[in-house]
Amino acid sequence: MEYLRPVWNCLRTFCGCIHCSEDIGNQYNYEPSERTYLLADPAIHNSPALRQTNSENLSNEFAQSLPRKDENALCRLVQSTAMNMIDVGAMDLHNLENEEYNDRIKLYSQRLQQQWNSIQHPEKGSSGFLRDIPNANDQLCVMNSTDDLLQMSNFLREGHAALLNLRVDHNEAIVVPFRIP
Amino acid sequence: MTDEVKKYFNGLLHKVNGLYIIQVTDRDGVPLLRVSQDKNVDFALMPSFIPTFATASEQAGKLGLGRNKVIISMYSNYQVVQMNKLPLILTFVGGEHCNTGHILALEHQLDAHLEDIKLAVNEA
Amino acid sequence: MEQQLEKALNEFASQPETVGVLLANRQGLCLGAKGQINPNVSGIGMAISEQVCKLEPNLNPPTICLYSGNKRCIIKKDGELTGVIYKQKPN
Repeated sequence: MEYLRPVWNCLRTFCGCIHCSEDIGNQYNYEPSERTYLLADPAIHNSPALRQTNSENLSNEFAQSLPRKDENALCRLVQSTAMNMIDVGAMDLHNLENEEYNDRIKLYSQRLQQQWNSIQHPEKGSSGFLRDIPNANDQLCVMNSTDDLLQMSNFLREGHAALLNLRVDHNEAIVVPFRIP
Repeated sequence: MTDEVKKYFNGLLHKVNGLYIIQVTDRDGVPLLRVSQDKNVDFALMPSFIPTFATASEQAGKLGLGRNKVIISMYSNYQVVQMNKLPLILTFVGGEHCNTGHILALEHQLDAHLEDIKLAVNEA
Repeated sequence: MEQQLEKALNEFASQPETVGVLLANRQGLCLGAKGQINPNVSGIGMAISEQVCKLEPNLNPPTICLYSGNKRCIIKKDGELTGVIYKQKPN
């Protein structure tokens, strides 16, 4: 995977050279599918850029033959791929300075104090055991059904047996779905 | 009022068996609220602990399963449940045998309380 | 790989007066749920069963029944698993 990073950096610079001004925020509105053409105009499909050429001539021909719309499409594609690429190593952890850390703590606690002091929360009603249950006495006299107890015991017994038979069925995929509807 | 909120969070801490810390921070790890039992769980207070989760959560959102909501990390002595409630991050640290499902069930109860706290972070 | 578990859940969810069934593991995480039952209930169900076990620590975990109107909820812990069954009496 190490070789990919310089390739993407290269393509990103290339986009910069051809003045791509696509806003990254637009990435999320662009949903390419397998039917999306990279190059919008079908006439371009016959352009010299798509013919087999020597690698040293490729970038020159490419830069000259692509119209602006397709440059943008290419930029969008490159940027969206770069955004979606998982690259934990390249993320640099921005650790806060002690001073900024302490300043923020003070700021947050001030704001929270202000907020909570100005909010009037309604008084909680007095709590009482079983106050919200009408006819509490009747409810308390209900006998447990032995059917329920038996059903639960059977359920747990079947559950244990099912768990013992739980195993991963290898089928060549790296990720095996479990209970995904 | 702050005391009432702290009391509420403390109540939650004691409700879940084996839960040591509940912490609400911004994405850089600056604490807004923290309640803890007397346990030696200093790693949750390390400044890089929270930003690491924020990065991991962002990257996890690129796995094609939608936005990452919760990451549960099981260690030999502890478990850490972290919830992405940007701009806030909610961290729970509990013992190995702590009821993870119970912690996850607290999420819905806490959402309402977090709305107030989010305002403090958002006033930029 | 989880067909037997699915089968067990389906079988018990379709029993008389049963509205929903759920199985939780020892961490309170939902292994499976069927019917009108919220999978998030797994954590709370297990927490309730753990608390109730403290009433008589030397005995086997008891079965807990919660009643509300014509609905009832049965919770029981058995080793690694905690089962939760929602039932409702027909009107």
